[in-house]
Amino acid sequence: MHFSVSKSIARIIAAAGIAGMAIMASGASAQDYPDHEVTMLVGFNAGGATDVIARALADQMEKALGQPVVVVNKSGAGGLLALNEVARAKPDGYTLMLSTATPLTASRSEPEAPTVDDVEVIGIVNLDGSAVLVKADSEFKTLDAFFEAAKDKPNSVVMAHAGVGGSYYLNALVWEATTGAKFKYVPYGGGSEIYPALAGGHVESASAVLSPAKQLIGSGQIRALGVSSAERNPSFPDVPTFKESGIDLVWGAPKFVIAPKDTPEDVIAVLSDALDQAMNSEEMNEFWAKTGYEKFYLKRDEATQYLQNAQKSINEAFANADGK
Amino acid sequence: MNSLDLYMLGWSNIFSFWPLLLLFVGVIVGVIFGALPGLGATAGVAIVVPLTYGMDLNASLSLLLGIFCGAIFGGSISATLINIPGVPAAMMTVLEAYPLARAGKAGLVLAVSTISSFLGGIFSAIMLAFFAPLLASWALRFGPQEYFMVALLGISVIVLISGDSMPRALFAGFLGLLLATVGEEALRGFPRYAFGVTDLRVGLHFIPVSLGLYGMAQVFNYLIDEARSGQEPEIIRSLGKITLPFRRVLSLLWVVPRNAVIGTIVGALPGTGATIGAILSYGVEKRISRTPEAFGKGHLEAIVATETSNNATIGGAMIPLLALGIPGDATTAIILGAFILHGVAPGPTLFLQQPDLVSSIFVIILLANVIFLIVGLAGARIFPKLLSIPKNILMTIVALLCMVGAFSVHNNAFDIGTMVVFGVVGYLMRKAHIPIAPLLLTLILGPLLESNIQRAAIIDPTFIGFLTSPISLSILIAIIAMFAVPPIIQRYKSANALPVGEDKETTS
Repeated sequence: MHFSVSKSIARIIAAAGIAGMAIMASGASAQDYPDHEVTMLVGFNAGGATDVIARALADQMEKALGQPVVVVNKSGAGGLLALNEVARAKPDGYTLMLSTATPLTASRSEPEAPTVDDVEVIGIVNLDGSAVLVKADSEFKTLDAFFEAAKDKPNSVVMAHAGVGGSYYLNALVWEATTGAKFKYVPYGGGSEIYPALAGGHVESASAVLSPAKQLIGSGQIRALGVSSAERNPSFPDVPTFKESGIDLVWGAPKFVIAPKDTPEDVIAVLSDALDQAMNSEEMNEFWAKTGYEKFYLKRDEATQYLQNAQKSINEAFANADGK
Repeated sequence: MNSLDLYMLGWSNIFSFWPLLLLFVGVIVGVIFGALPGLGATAGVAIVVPLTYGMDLNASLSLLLGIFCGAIFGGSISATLINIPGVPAAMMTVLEAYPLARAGKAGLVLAVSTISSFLGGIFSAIMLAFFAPLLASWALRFGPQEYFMVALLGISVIVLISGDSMPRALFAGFLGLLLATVGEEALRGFPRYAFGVTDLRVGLHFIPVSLGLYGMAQVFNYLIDEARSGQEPEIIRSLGKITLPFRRVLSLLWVVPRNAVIGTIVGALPGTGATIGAILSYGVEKRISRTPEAFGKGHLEAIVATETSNNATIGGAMIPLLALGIPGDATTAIILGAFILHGVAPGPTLFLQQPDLVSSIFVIILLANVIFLIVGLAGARIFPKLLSIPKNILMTIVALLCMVGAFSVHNNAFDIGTMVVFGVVGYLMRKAHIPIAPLLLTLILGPLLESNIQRAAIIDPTFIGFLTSPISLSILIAIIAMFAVPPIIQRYKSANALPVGEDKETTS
């Protein structure tokens, strides 16, 4: 049994000191960056996927930075509260966020919400392929038949998702824009409500992440028709990709590290190096293998490019959804 | 696999230094978190879960489940002694425990709620090991129609806690329903009643609201009325007799099994939890009680019912988590994170492939209940004395804890403001003799009600499912029966009303 009690205690003390430090934080020059701990905001509660990934990443980044990286959960409004905080924070590299798709989607219902252009992207770390799941006794056996049915008879196929602000609803809209299908959406309060609704046969299908459903898929209570990532998920070798099923789409919900706009370039360089070191560490690779979350690492420029392209697809998907 | 394995294998995992120590620490921390108004089970587990990322799974579960069990029990302590539910799950306990404590029976109430919590917890742990796969697959039959009916049943409990004035209780109930609509609506994600304030898009979380209504409102009451008038307010110092006649003990024990079953089932339904378990148990108990008129004035049976039930939801909530990989409530959702981090995917095969892990969880819940039984019974003599500190200091502590608790929900200072506003609302409601419980009850159940009728309407616009589902139909019939009965209760009330707090058997 290995414990990191002393480290945990150090982290509590560090967390307690944040408030004080925030006041003390000065416009330090990049030469001494970082000279105190860095805060990494998470827009969701402790224990969720984003939190678990953020904490693993923070552990490795603090080795590279030589200062503690403290994860702070500021949950609510699908991550918008945390996004607002990082977008308005002082651009000194001491406030970061492990963001989900929030900056790509929030401006749809909240015109004032920050977008990817309003923050600095340090890098993408994870992208979980989103899956089409159906109930066990669903008439649909293939992805192709599923989308065909939803195209031929619009609004006839029921699809559950984990909330309109969330990545998996967004994924479904992108599928609609790509395939011409139209679904009848049923909102649920999160992934943990989707899987029982499917396993109980209360909804026909759902857009959701694969890994939490591993056991339910294994026992035949839920079926996975396809996953929209580039390659098959190693933990689900039997689930084909969209491409293999003849749908030309590679898509997923990214998690990426962001900093406030106008963070000095040299500070960003330090952070990029730290992220690089963390993502290439043995510990991080072990983490991905153990948890089943999928590593997807893009550095700053590629990541920014990727997200801008994603924004285009998302805007088209929204236009397609609103134009019906 | 031998079915007894689930009861046997875990002992050796847990009976080693770290798991036992962490379990003990967890229960104590949990009881403190639960007893202090402000931080409850979910907040306690959320604060500690990052510390467990470096531990092995048995140690981590010992700490997390210890806190969970301790906190739900601890909530009854402040409910009894200062009229504030330490956790929302104790909101129904407050109605009965505080009047009895004021009548000088604080020690007895604490002892009774400790033992009831213990029995509820043990029952649900045994159910967990024995029937988890069965109960979990049964819970899957709950779709939108069934959840809607559960929420409706919970809301109809308002009728039973209306006290003297039905219009006032209904007013509070509808206010709660209205407040439950604040925030992003589910279908398109557009804000309702947010007035352009981003923080209001999140909606009004029931924790800051309940801390305001119960905790801060008392602080205002003290500042505005009691402190100014100079009169020494009542503090519960006297313990009273802790013994009960044997026949009375038997009649209380008789209440345990049905509420342990209610708690375990409600816990096993994803999306519900300890608070809803306690609400339903209170409703059922009052409905079948031979002395419903004694409810609300200090009724031991009701305390046994709510405390048995809310602790039984813990084992219940672990059932879908272990058997399906689906968390049963907000706290187990955090615990699921700990499983994933250790590379364990709970689900149908867990019972076959890792019976030792399931068994460890059974042992942890069992031991956690034993630990808080000892802490609670020993504390029944000590806790009331802790409150003999001057009331100005006590109220300062309550105000501070309410702020910390409100902030801890989203790490957002806005929620402190929400809490204070509802402190004012709670103060005014008390002045106007409007009961508080219906407001909180509908605020908690409102989203369950709305989201499920929405889902039901989208999936099946004919609404026929509400009548064709056997589960939904049975609950509907129960609700109708509940509404048909109040006139009879009314007749009972006038026929043989009991004086306040008087409990004929305990005084004998």
